[in-house]
Formats: sequence, C-alpha cells, structure tokens
Amino acid sequence: MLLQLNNIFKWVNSGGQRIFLLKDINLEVQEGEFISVMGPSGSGKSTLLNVIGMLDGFEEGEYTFLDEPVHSLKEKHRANLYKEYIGFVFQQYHLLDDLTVQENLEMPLLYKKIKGTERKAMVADMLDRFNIVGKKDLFPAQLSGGQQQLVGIARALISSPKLILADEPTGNLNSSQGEEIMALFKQLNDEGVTIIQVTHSEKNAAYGSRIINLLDGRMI
Amino acid sequence: MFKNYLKTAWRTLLKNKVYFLINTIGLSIAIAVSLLMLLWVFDEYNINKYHEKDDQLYLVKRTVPLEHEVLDVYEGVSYPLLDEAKKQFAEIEDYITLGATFEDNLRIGDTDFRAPGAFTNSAFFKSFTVPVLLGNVEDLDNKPEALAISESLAQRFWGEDWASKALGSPVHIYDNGDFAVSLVYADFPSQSSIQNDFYYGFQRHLSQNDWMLEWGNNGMQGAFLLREDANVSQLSQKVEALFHENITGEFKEGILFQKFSDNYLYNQFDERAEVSGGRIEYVRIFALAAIFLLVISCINFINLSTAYATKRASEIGVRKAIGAQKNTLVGQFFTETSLITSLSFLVGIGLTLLLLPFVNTLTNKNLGLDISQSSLWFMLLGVFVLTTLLSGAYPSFVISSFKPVTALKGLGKEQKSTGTLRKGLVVLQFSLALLLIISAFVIQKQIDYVNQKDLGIAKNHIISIHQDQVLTQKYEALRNELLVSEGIEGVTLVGPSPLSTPASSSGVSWPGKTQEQENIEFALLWTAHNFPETFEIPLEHGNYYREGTQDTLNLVINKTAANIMGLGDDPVGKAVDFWGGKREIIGVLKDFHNRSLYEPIQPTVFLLEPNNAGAMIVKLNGNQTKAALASVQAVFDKVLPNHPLHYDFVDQEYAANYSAELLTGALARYFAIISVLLSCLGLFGLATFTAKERTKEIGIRKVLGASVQNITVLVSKDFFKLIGIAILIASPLAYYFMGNWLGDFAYRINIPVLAFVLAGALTLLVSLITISFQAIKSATSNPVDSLRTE
Repeated sequence: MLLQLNNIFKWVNSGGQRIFLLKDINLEVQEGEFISVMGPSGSGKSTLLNVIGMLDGFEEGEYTFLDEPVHSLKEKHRANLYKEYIGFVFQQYHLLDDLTVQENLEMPLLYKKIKGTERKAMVADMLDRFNIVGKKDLFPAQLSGGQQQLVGIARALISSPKLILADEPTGNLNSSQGEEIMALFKQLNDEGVTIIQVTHSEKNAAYGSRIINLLDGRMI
Repeated sequence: MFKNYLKTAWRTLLKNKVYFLINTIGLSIAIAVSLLMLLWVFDEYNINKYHEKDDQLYLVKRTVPLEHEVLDVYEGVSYPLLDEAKKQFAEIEDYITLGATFEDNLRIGDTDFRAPGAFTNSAFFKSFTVPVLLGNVEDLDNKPEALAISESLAQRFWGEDWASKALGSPVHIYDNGDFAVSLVYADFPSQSSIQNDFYYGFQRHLSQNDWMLEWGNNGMQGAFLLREDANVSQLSQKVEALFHENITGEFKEGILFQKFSDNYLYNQFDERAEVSGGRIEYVRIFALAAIFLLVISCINFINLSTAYATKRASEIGVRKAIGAQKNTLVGQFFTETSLITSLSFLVGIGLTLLLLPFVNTLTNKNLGLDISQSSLWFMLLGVFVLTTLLSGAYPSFVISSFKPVTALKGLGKEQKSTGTLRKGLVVLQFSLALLLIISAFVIQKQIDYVNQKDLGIAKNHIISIHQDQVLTQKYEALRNELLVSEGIEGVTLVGPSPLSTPASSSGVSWPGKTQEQENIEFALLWTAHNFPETFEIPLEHGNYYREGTQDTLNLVINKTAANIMGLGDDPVGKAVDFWGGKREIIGVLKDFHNRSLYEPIQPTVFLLEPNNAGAMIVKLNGNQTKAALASVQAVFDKVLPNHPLHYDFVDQEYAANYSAELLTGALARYFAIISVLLSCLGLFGLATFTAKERTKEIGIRKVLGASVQNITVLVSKDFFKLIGIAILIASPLAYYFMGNWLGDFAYRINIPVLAFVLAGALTLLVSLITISFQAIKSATSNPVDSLRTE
C-alpha cells in the first residue's frame, strides 16, 4: 500500500462559519494504481490532491504514506518524503520562466543535493526519453503548451517518484496534445508509477483504473 | 547550488531592470555617503589618540565656582601649580606647558614665513609622540634662544637639504625676538589637534612674563605625564589640596583632570563640572544621519523586494512543489540580495573615492581610503554586512515562507501583510527625510540669524593687523598716512580681540560686592581712545577715555558690568577697585556681543593702553575695499618697508566661531537632499509596481468610464496619506531635537513654523512629481491592452 487517508477533514473559518473543503475522506491507494479524481468545480479535487501531495495540511484525520504518519511528521521530514517520492504536474505547467528546459529539469535534483555528474546524466537521460534534446536550451516561453507540459512531466519524473500528482494536466492543451500527454501517463503507469490525476473529462478519466467522485468535499 | 542561485539571481535582475536600477542606485549613494561619514567619524574619534603615552597624559583644568553654586570649567592653569605638584607627588612624571597657538612671521635671511607656533618645554617632546629628527630637546629648557621647528617648516626655509643647514641658523620672530634653530621635529600627523610649526622655550616666555610666577595667574594650558599606575582621581584631589594651600579667597577654584585625548571631543561641562558634550555631539549627529540614509535606502530595498516578491509567488510555489525547502529559498533570495548589495558596494566605493576631495574641502580634513588600515576593512565589512542583512533578511524570510498552495494560486493574505509593512516603512522613511529637511532648515535659519544679528558693534569691512613692537613704534605715522589714503575710514588699536574677548580677570571690586560674586570674570579689552567710534559702539553714560597712552585713574565698563555692580542709572563718578588701584568710572558703553552667540554678553572692562593692545584695526570703506586694501599695502610699504603685512577680516574671524555650525548646516543640507531623493526613488519604484499591479483594475475602471484624473487620484492617494502621516510624526520630533540644539545658544531664533510647512510642501511636491509620472502613465494607457493580459 502506497498511502492511506483516514477520516480526513479540512475546513476554513469564514465569518464565524466553518466551511468544509474536505469532509471525512477515506482513501487507500495501492502502488501501480492510476486514479482519476472527478467532480464539479469547487468540490475539493485540487484540495485533495494538495493534501495528498503534502503541499497543504488538514485539520483532522490521519494520513499514512509508505507507513509514515504524515500528520505527525515535522515539516522537514515531510518535505524530504515528498521530495523523494512525489512529483507534481500542473495545469499551468508552472515551469520556472527564468530557467531553460535543461535547468528546469535539473532543479529538483539540485534540491535533492544530487552530485553534478550524476545530475547531468539524469537530465540527459530525461531529455532523451522525452525527445526534447533539441529544446534543452530554450526558455519555457519559447515552447508550445504541449511541449511545456511535456517538460513539466519530465521534471516531475526526473527524481523517479513513486507517485505523480497531476492537476488537470491537459486542461490548457488542445485535444491532440492532450491525447499525447494522456498516452504518456498511461505508459508511465504501465512502467509502475502510481498516478493520481484530477480531471473534468470522462475521456481522460477512462485512462485510469479507478475513478473517485467528489461533491462538496465528500467522496460519493 | 550556489552557481544556480547566482544564475537565477542574475536573470531575475535583468528581467526587472527598474527594480534592479533603483535598488543599486539608491544603495550605492547611501553606501557612499555612509562610508564618507564613517571615515569622518572615525577620524574624529582618533584625534590625539596616536600618542603612545595617551593613557598617561592628562590636561589640568580649573573648576571655577560662580554664583548659585554653578561651576565653570577653565583650561588655563598657573605655572607654580604644575611645578610644585611635580615636586611633591611621585605619580607625576613630568609636566608640560602648552602655550596658546599664535600666528607670526618668522624671518630667515631676507625672507618672511608665516607660521603657527607656541611656547612649550622639553617635556612636550618627551611625553607626547613628537619624534625629534635633529637636535637636542633639553636646549628648549636651557637655552633662551632655542627654537624648535617642524620638518615642513624647515623644508620651506631651506629646501630638501634642510638637515645640513637648519641647526644653529638664526631666526627672527617679529613678536618675540631672535632665536636659533636647535631642534627639528617631525610634522604632526593629521590626527593631531595641535599643528604648530614652531616652538620656543617656556623658560624664555616666563622670563618676559613674570606675572606667570603667581599661583593665581593662569596663562597657559598645562598637562601632566602620569606614572602608569597613578590613581588619577586621588591625585587630582591631592593637586587640588595643594592649589588651595596656595591661593586666597573664600570660593576656591577646584582642579579637574581630563585625559588629553578626551579634550578634543568632550570639552563642554555642565554646571557641576561633569562632561556634558562638545564636539562629540556633532559626531553623533552625523553618525546617526549616515545610519538614517542607510536605513532609508534599505527600506527601498525591502519595499521593492517584498512588492516584487508577490510577482514571483508562483515561482516560489513551484519551487516548493518540486522539493525546495525554506532554507534553500532563503539562500536563493539572499544570494539575489547580496548580488545587488555587492554591486552597490563596489559602485559606492567608487563614488566615495570620487567624492572624497569634495568632502575633504568641506570638512577641512585629509580623509582617504587607506587599505593598509585594518579599521577600514572592519568598517567596509560592517557597512556591507549591515546593508545586506537589513535589506536581505526580511524579504528572504517573507518570500520563502509563502505557503505553496496559496503561492501557486497568487497571493492573498501574505500580500496584505507585507503591504502593511511596506506602508509602515514608507512612513518611517519619509519621517526620517522630513526630520532632516526640517533640521537643515532650522540650522540654516539660526546661522542666518547669527550672521545678520546686529551685534551692537561694527564688524564688516574691518581688518585687524597683528601689533608687534615695530608697529607700535610707527603707529602714529601709519595712522596719519592711512587716514589720508583712499578708502580708509578709521584706524585704532585694540586687543586682544573685541569679538572674542579672550582675556578676563576677577580683579574688579566695588562697594557692595558679595562673596558670591567673588569669581565673576570681567572681560578685558586694551584699547585706544577712538575704539568706540571705530567700532560704532555708542556710550550709555559719560565719556570714553581721552587721547593718551595710559589712564590708571579712570575706568570705562559696559552696561552689563554696570548692572552687576548695581550702579543704577548714574554710574559715572562711582569709585571701583581695579587690580588693587582705585579708579573712577567715567563712562559706560552700550552692550555689544563680545563673544559668540552661544554665550551671554560678558561684563567688560575697557582699558586705555594702546601700546600693548595687540591689534591695529583699520576700518575700510565698504564700497571700495579693493582700493582700501591697496592703500593699506602702500602705506605699510612706505612706512615699514621689509615688514610683512598680514591682515584678517574681523567678520571672518567672528564667523570662525561658527565653523562647526556652518559645517553642520552644509552637511544637513546635503543629507536632507539625498534623503529626499532616496525616499522618492523608492516611492517611484513602489508606484511603478502598484501601477503594474493595478493594471487590470485601472483597465476595468476606464471601461466603466473613469477619467484620467480619477485614475491619477486613485493611484496617488494612498501614497499621500502615508506622507501625511510622516509629516505628523516628524514634526514634533524635529521640534524637540531642534529645540534642544538651539538651547545651546544664548541668543537664538524661535523654531519657525514655516520650516514645517515648507518641508511638508516640498516633500509632497517632489513625491507628487514622482508618483504622478506613473499614475498618469497608467491612467492614459489603453484599457484594451491592460485587460488583455488575463
């Protein structure tokens, strides 16, 4: 088992009222799964993804990731955990504008304090694998949306995570680019990477092995 | 990692050029100014500290009890006190007699050289660090003709090979007679407050001034070289006891020891004879002003970095999402900051070097960046670390603590909190700037007041010529020739100086003088009969002396003296006792300011004794000073050929009283201008940022029908509120500080309300120009462009 959420509650206080973002979420994810999270806007999809990705906290409940109790870990320990095992893919790609493709790919490795030669090799490997060697010195603004998302995925993959969290990865892409990206996710999943994606599209959801539906912060 | 930090930093800076330029320009100016000020402050702190026996050198001062248990501190001491104390107390290794510095002409062969000098004894060269290059110091005590001269004076006399010619060469000093060079000493370093070019022996001075042999006559500064283990406070009490044994009177003067090197910065005492300040106050003020400037430009930095950080929120979110930890991000932003501060630092040092000559002229110093001095490195390091920390620390922590999820979405709460801080800092910044502007204005007003105040005595277009024996002999001839020359309005003799009255005496008694009044010092002026006419001082009662060379039966005093003596409305004819002789008051002169306006008018006694006065005074016609000066030169050439003519303008000598104030005024003005410029630079950056931030809002408002004017007001309004608050904060502070500063003057202006109005208006105006540039730019922009971005 990769991770387990037990009775997760997340809320904010607004005008004396408690507004629930997540309500009593119970979820178990096995390694190798490909899960699609669906639901209308504001149902808590992204929030759930952020909680799983440890970018955001929660008010109540327990979260176990690879047998580590995330809810009681120190910030630093938690950061090490997601640095090691989790990669993010965003709808707006979120590449660092000031860095080239190559440097963007290198960044997570720098944060993991991986040695220079090894780093270079890993980056070269990834450029090769995604067929973007010719683009390595370009800045994100010089790439198309699909190419940027490709770099985004490559960056998420570079530290060989066990889990990829993708928040509407094809939301900003046209349909043919979208299909390419989804095919890539499928391929990665076949290679053993666990994927959780948030999506609006039934078609994209169909790539996954399991669908979770959210409404008003609840799983239905 | 570090390389990566640098790379990112560099690219970010290139992308935000306005931000980068404003920060670099502002910081480098502030760094340059603070460095220059620090150099000055360090120099001031080091004055006189270079003497190897600094810890053992003490000046002897007297505390003089005045009315109402107030103590005054005088620097002069008497010779017997120094001599006897050394004989009696083993803690005293030696005493040094320090005569007052005077300028005189020295003649070698046929050439005259003007140089400053004084008398002293051989102990001076043995106790203070004044290396002797040639000759024997003992000569100064033993040979009456002995003269010590500085190396640079020797070079002026004899050129490069002075060493072979100097010893034994005859030198004539106009006021003091014939000497022979018996020792050459190394020039005083610039850290010395003493800069005399020649010394003659104290014994010779004593032989011509036997009044100095009295315990009660204080004719010079005196210093002791103490044994290293001496207990200073005990010793000063013992010396005081010795002094009391030997002087008469009820209210006895006390003895105060002050470290010689402390005297330069701490020479003001309060009424209990405790050190109350002195030049140190100016040193502190300017150190503070330099820090103000540094703070102002660091605030620019903080404001701009936190403002621009909101633009980079999503970058921070991404970095955190791909594994950056807080300290990594702090490192990254700190590298960016350090890059800017390092660059500013280099530019700042360049600016410093560029401005040094100007500052040296302004402060009359010889400052420089001496890289061999470790203190310079500490100073540079200090300024660098301070700037980097001040401007880098806060933004780095704020930026790196953004929550990743919020940061990815764009900022909400975080932005608001740094916004409040930014506003606070802008207020602080403008408060400091306003404080400086108001102070500069008030100081200038007081200086104007001092310069323009009717002193009750004429001081413009009057020159004073040192009166030596030759001049006294030929005075009548000179005077007669001068009076018929072009542009000369009057000639008289007076001494030592009517506008500083350095000589004083308590040897005046009158019927009804109380014991408390025992120590009242009366200023003394030796004059010729036409002194009041020449200086345009009206008589209050009676008459001035009639023409003559001396009058020991009569006495003329000023109004203040008459009031102290309680002589009422009809003082003429009253008898007083002066220096043991009975005299009759024949006249009372109206009060004039005989000292700087720091001090109240002194009671003054005018004596008729032209032959020993001290200065020949020539009053010129203000409309033809040039011709008049030519006449003076011509007359001197005719009557006293071969006699060097040197004159000083009385008003300039008087103005020298305020050299510290003039410097303060000038520096305050520069500081004020720079602080406003720096603050506005920051304001410009913020306004640019706000305008960009609100591009969309402005676009929407324009679509809804807002006019250019509406938008300009909208964008500027917030800033003006802040400046308004700054005015409210700075005004009372400035009022308080300036009130304190003016409190030192016995005659002062009231703090002008205009200063506050003008400073406020000026600041508002400059900021208006700064902000409206951006405001109008965004107001006139096409809403289609600004809305397209989303």
